[in-house]
Amino acid sequence: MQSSVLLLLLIGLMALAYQMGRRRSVRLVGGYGKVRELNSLPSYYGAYAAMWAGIPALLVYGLWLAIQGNVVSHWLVAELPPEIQQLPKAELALVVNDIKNLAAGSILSGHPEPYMQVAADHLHSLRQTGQAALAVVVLSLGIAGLVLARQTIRKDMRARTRVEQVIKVLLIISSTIAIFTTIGIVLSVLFESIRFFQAIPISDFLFGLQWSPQTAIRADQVGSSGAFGAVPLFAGTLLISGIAMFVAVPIGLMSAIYLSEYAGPKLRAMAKPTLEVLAGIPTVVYGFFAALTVAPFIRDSGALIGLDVSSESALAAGLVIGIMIIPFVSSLSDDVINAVPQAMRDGSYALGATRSETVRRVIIPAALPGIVGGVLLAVSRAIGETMIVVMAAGLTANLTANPLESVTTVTVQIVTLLVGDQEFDSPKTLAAFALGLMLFVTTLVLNVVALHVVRKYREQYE
Amino acid sequence: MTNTLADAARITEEAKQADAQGDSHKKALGEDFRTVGRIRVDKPRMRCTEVNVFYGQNHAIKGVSLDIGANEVIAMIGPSGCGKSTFLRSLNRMNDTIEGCRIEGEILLDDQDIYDKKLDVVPLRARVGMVFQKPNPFPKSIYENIAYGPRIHGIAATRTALDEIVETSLRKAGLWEEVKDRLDKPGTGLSGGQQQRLCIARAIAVAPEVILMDEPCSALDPIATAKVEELIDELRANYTIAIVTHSMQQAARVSQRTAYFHLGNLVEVGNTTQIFTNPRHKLTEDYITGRFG
Amino acid sequence: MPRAISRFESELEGFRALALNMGEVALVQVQKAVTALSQADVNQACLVQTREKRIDQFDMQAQERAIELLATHQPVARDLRFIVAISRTITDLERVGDEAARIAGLVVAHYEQDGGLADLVLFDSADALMGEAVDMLARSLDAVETDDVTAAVAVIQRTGRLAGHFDAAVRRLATYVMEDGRNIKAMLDALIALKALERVGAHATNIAENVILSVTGKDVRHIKADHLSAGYLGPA
Repeated sequence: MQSSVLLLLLIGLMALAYQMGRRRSVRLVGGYGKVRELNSLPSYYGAYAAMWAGIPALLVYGLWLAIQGNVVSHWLVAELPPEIQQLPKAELALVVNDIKNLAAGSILSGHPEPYMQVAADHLHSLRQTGQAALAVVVLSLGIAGLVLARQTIRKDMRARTRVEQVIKVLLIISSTIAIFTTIGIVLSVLFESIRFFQAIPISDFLFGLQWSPQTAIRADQVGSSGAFGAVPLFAGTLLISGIAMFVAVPIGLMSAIYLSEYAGPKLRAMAKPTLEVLAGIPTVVYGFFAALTVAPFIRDSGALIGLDVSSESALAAGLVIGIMIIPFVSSLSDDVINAVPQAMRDGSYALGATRSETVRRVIIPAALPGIVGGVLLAVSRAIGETMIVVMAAGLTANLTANPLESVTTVTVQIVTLLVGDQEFDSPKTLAAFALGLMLFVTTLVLNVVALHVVRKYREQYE
Repeated sequence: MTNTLADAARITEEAKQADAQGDSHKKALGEDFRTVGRIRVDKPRMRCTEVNVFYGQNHAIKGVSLDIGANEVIAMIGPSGCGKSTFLRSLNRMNDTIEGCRIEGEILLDDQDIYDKKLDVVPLRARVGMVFQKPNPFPKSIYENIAYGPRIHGIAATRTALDEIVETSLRKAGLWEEVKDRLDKPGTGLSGGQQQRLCIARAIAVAPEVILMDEPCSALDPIATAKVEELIDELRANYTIAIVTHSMQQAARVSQRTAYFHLGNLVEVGNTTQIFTNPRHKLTEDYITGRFG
Repeated sequence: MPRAISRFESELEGFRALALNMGEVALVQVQKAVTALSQADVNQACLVQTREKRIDQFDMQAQERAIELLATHQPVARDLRFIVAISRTITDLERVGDEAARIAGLVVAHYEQDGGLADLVLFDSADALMGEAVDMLARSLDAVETDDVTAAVAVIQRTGRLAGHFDAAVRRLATYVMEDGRNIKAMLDALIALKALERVGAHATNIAENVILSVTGKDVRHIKADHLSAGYLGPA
């Protein structure tokens, strides 16, 4: 039987159980008129029965699917000729794979040997049996659950409490999924990083001033042994983010203040969505803009006043990232400024304050936690930005504070390390994980600081 | 289904009755309605003559003339939407901030028209302070809350002078003893009643002549209300106070004169005792005895 | 401001009904006392004395009710005036009851000692005063029942006539004393009784004044009766 059909059947069974549970509970008290004698509403009894019919069966179904493959392979190997069984593990796995492909009807690389054909047939029948057994077990479990639930329904049974408990468990499971995913990601990055740090000392990585990750893949290849000092990357990231924030924070904040405090409703209704369009432009497009318009413009203007500006500069990338994140700052700030109660403004106006005095002395302080939140979101966006930097700031890991030179950032390097054919045990590729870990730690620290700042101000301002 | 129909019928019926009531009130007031009672006093601090306020098409205040005497507490009462708050807010031009609001007529503060084109609204609001329905201390320390106004108007030249203003204002608001040890703590950390007295102190700090209060106790518990009412009574010696309130008892307790507003008209004004024992207009009587509203 | 307005109104009407019931009893008391006086009916007088307790009970109950209404509804304007007026009316009615009891007491004291029918003549002249006082009380109660200012004014304007009757009766008494000095004791008793009747009339006036206070909000206690007119009171 097909899995999907089985699942549908199971759902049907649950629906049936729901109806039966409901009816049964109603019948127990003698009709709908006396439903209040029940401990819970009839629908809770229905849900209770459906749970009994569905959950054990589904659990078994999941478990079965998880182990079926291994068990079947094991049996398959046991049936193979002894000399095949003696093969080394890797080769045996290849053979098993061939058999599986044969069973699935795919074309093999070579001509199948007879024992393979036999094994494939055997595999096929094993799978058939397995499916049938699964169907029988699951359905009978479902029916058994249904019957059991129907039997246990009593007038004073607390169906509601039990259903609520199950729902609570479901909610807990859902919430932990996100947590475990995060932990999983962190751990995988962490383990790869540890491997990297086994090859390259952590102090070299953290404090080294040179970044040139090109290592020789083959022993006879001409190439450097690589230098993995991450400082230039972080310096570049910092420089570009700094320039971006220097552009985005004042412009974003001021446009937010204008929109929320000064602009009329019509202008506001038009300008705010327009501003938010900025956030919707793909970063690649910003990249074009940065590389083809802004960078040459900066270079030419630099040349006019006698400055030597490289055609790919931190300034160009930073400016464009800044423009990109203006909506983050402005839109969020606008929201929090609007959320400052009108009573605050009234209080200030009533004391004779002008509009700008009110904004400066009352509204900005009151909205500060939200504004800080928006700015930090924008910062993390700027740090994580890759595409614009690739296109406008270049790939050279320069350790410089001069915004007119070309620099590179952490994310850009991660991308360059991982694109193309790579082997996953050289320090070059593993360096990407180390950088990722560092980035993760940095943003985590930033978030913690942000939370702390916001909380501190919130204590003071609410 | 039947229920819905019955509900609909009932609601329509109620709406008709409400309309009928509204009509009868309109009839009771009429086009050429004149306020019952003495609108003028001997020593007016503010004198309003034929004030009309419009919100777009809505005629919110209809030809109201009223004096607010020096050192008196005048209470403005009336059902919701009767225009009493609007009238109050027009006394320090707080309506200016509302879009589409237009004001006709004349409002004099010490014989000076406050809607005069030449008059700057900033000093006006220093002379006519306002306290709002919900306590709205700024998200600043208690000290900064009080110092806000004096700083804006450049009242205090030195830090010592400012300290003095803060202390006097808090003392006048009866809050000094409660907060003197925590002036640097946020004003929002005070209790509701303390917050409202802080807001009153904040208004006092710019040395106003008139203090407008828009339902200052509606968000407070009875004990805090009693304290604010007592404060209002004390402030009367130095300030003129106009208070809008929904609590008839409060109007009766704190004010010397009471003005009753209805549908944008000033229906009746008179001594508080007279209004509460023997109102002369039927609408006033119906309202204060709870026959409608 | 009472919110449960219909309940409040029915409570107010209940309060008025209480006063009216009490008024009814007080009026009957006065009538019975007067009858006892004019017919020298000692039994009747005794009955009046016993029934005085009921008036006192009414008084207690009504005053308690007044305080309850004030405390629970905190009335203002018309409602406040109404409660105060009814409360005052009840005090007056209690006094009326006292006057009736006083007359009854005089009847008992006088006729039990001497038992002489001859003295009845002393009160012959008081008929008009009796009638006036009793009727004023009845009219004032009618005014309370219907909130009728005109009726109340009419009652107040009878004060002069009442005083006239009282003076006439006193003059007549004086002639008896002049005729026979031994009548002095009986004459003093009679004088007290007449004064009590005059007081009943005065209480009736008070009740009428309270009606005016309740309805118009004007305190007319110290206004000369002649000056009371529709013009002074204005539209209710």
